[in-house]
Formats: sequence, structure tokens, C-alpha cells
Amino acid sequence: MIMKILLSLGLGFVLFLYLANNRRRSPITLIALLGSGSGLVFVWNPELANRIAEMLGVGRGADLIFYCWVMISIALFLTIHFKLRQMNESLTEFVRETAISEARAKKPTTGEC
Amino acid sequence: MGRGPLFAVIAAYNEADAIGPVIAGLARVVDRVIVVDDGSADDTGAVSLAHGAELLVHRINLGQGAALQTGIRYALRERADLIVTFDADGQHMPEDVPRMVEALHRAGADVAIGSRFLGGTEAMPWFRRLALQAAVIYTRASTGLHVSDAHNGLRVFTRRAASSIQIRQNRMAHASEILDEVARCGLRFVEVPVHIRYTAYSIGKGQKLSGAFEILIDLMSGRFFR
Repeated sequence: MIMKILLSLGLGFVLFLYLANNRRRSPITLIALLGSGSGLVFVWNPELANRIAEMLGVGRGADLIFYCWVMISIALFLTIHFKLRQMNESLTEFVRETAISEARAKKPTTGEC
Repeated sequence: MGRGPLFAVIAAYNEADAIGPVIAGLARVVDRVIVVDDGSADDTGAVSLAHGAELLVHRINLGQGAALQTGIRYALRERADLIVTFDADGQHMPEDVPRMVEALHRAGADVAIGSRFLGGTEAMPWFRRLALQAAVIYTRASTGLHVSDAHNGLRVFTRRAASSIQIRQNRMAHASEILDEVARCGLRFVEVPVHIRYTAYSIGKGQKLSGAFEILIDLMSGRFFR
């Protein structure tokens, strides 16, 4: 029972964080909402996970949750990777245009043309 | 032969000790020398200005590929007709530049690529030779271009080629990416024998063998996410 309460508090906190802070429903938010929401249901109703696993031909509910966790992790990793890549390209472009706009050459000293 | 201005673009990161003579040598064979100081912590920028180069400064270190793209974009905006890329560590010979330009015009090509394996090298370490030959095999397989040197920093681009090629690999994988772009854009290229002089300085500044794996990973991910 203690573990169930701890897990519920953790998952509930994640759910609350995403609902409170992300008005825009990005893929990463939806994945986090789906993961923590279904996690909460399975914590209190583990038989449901077993029944769904059986229906899908996976075996045990624990296996189903593990496979889902792996898939969610990969999806999160790719989402973050794309985001970082996009930010890196924006940063590169910003640094590049700043460098070009501030291009300088040695000022000719007296006597030089 | 009448032609527009010839620009040289040098990407430089902490090259204050070597870049002065490189600029001085290049100034004899090109119309304008552009140095892109890629966030150096030393006096690369001041030394470059003192030797008469035009200076662009990256506020943070982005990598050689990003610096070259910055210099190329600037040169295009300054109406460059031909653009030479040249390493900052002094391993290239400025006298190779006019020969490359001549070969480019003679072949009616868009890009001239220097080849140390058609030309010559001095004091090339065996591990560098091994990594470069692996890069040649990879480039031939991935682009279909029959090149003998896939990572030579000495290149000449026509304005048309420089406008078509987009370097998105910020770090060292840009050399292979340029060849990918040559193939993708259907640009005509010619390989020109050049001479590379390895010194303790240039070997110290150059790529380590482990860097080859990083380049490969960058290329793969760049290809996948492009």
C-alpha cells in the first residue's frame, strides 16, 4: 500500500506539472500525460494491465508496462533531440549573422591609401 | 582571363601562432582574405587584422564547418566570384591556389578539390593516412564521387557552387558533407594535386583518430535528420 501511495503521489505530481505548465499540447506533453495518467490507473488496478496484456498477446501486465516505457523513452529522446537540433541551428544562424554584421578590417593608418 | 574577385576563407580557432604567415601567403594570390575567428581564446582576431585580413568573429565556438559557412556567406554578399577555403594551421601551400583556379577554369568545373594523394605530403603520420583512406572509401560509397582525398581543406568554389552548397555540419563532418552536396546538386568537380606539409603544430591541431568516429556519427545523424 505504501508503494502504491508513493507511486500515485509521484505520477500525480508529474500530471499536475504538465497540466499546469504546458498550455500548448506538444507531443512531449501528450506523451507525459498519457504515461503518467495510465500509470496511475495501473497502480491501483494492476489486473487491468494484465487483462490488456493478455488481449494484446504480450503476456504479463508488467511486460506490457515495460515495453510501453521503452517506447515512451525513445519517443521522448527523439523529441528532445529534434528540439536541441532546432535550437542549435537557430543559435548557429544567430552567431553567424552577428559575425557578418560586425565584420571588420584593419583601419588604414596615416599615409596608407 | 577576366574574372571577378577571388576570396579566401579561413576558419580559425586559437591559431594566433600560425595564422599570420598563412594570411600573408594568401594575400599574394587572392584578392581578399576573410578570417572567421571561431570563438578563439587567444589573439587570432588581432593577429588576423594586423596581417590585413577581414575579420568575422563567432562569439562562441561553433566548429570549422560553421565558420566556413559564415565566411562563404559573407564572401557571396561581398560579390565574390570564386571562393577558396584554406586551413589556418599552415599545412596548405598558397602557390597551389592559382593552379587550382586554372584547373577549375580549364575543366569548366564548379568546384576544385585539392588532393594530397595526387600531389604530395611531408611527414604525414600513418594514422592520419589510414583515417583519410577510410574517409575516401566512405565518400565513394555514399556519394558515388570518385575522389582520392575526401578531407582536404583546400577547395575552390565558383559563385554558383558556393551558393548551392549548404554546410549544416558545424564541426569536422563538413568536409564529407561538402562532397555530399556536390553530388546532390550535380556540381562538376575537378581534383587538383596539392602539397600538404605536416608539422608538429598542424598534427597537434588536427583531427585525432577517435575524431573519425565522431565524424561518422555526425554524418549518419545528419543524413537521417536532414
